[in-house]
Amino acid sequence: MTGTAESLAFATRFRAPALVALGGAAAFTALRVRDPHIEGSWGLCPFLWLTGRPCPGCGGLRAVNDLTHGDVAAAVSSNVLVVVLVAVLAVAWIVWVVRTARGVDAPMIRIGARTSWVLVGVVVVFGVVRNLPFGAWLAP
Amino acid sequence: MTQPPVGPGQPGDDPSASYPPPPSYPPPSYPPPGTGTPPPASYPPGYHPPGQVPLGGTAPARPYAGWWSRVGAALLDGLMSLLVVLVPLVVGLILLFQNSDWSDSEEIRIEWGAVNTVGVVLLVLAGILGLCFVIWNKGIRTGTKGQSLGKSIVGIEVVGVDTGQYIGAGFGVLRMILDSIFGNACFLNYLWPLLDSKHQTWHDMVVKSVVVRKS
Repeated sequence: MTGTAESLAFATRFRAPALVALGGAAAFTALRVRDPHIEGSWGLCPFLWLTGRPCPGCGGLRAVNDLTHGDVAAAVSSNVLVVVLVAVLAVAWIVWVVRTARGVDAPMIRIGARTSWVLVGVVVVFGVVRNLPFGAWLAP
Repeated sequence: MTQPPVGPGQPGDDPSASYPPPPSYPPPSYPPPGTGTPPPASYPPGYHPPGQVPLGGTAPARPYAGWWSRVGAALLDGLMSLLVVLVPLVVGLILLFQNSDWSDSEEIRIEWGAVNTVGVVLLVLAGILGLCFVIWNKGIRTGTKGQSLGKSIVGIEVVGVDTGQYIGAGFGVLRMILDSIFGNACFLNYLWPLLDSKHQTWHDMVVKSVVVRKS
């Protein structure tokens, strides 16, 4: 392969990881600049507004904002799932970039149907538990 | 639901689909000769000619659905679910807010002591109605018939990338759930077909589906 073809292939291969990084960085920046701890700064959750109870996603934006300040404890107390998700995504992205650099053409994360049903189940259970007395520490 | 097994890939479902597989596989569509770079002796796994999805089994390769046609189908589906919930939603909101104090324009105050029960019931009804409609339309219908109502209008359908067949109600519903999660969490999901080699969104990848033009 010639040098230009190689560098072209290089750019094509890293297009997706670059886009994902850009998207992640944009989200983090936005949540850092516009603080979701201020009520209504990112709009109102209709679920919370109607029921007064936290849904599985409640506290997610606040958790990301806490992470940008390096306050992991506050982030975890806002929404553990989101903190775990961010950590998993970060690791997966790094592994992805390394593998891409080695010429492996694979998606960032590969999950099957069964795994995703399980994950959906985890989210639902989390949403229920954080609304129960013994799971109150999971609520934001 | 209880129809005879007129599944995808069987005549009767779509007269124009010449599904009975030809005795020979379609010829591998190498780039035409004389373009300078000769094709490699064997393509790496996962490679496929641009513009077409080779589907597993004996299904013929199918042309991908264009990104804009998918966007159009999604907008049509959204419009239809809005229409389904429109009446109970609007009436419910009117009933709920008619006794509200609007004098303080900074925030909406609802006298919760005097909440209009019918309004609340209508709102809940609208929610359940909309949910059921979306589960049926984007989940079950897409899984069993390959198309949501929007996709039928646009003329594209969802098939399994390994099978070329419709993915079934279970995978269809899972695809719908993941669509809503991924779509809400990150808009990149909807842009992904633009740079993916199989034009897949993330919810496509999980249930191993591709969206193709309906022939």
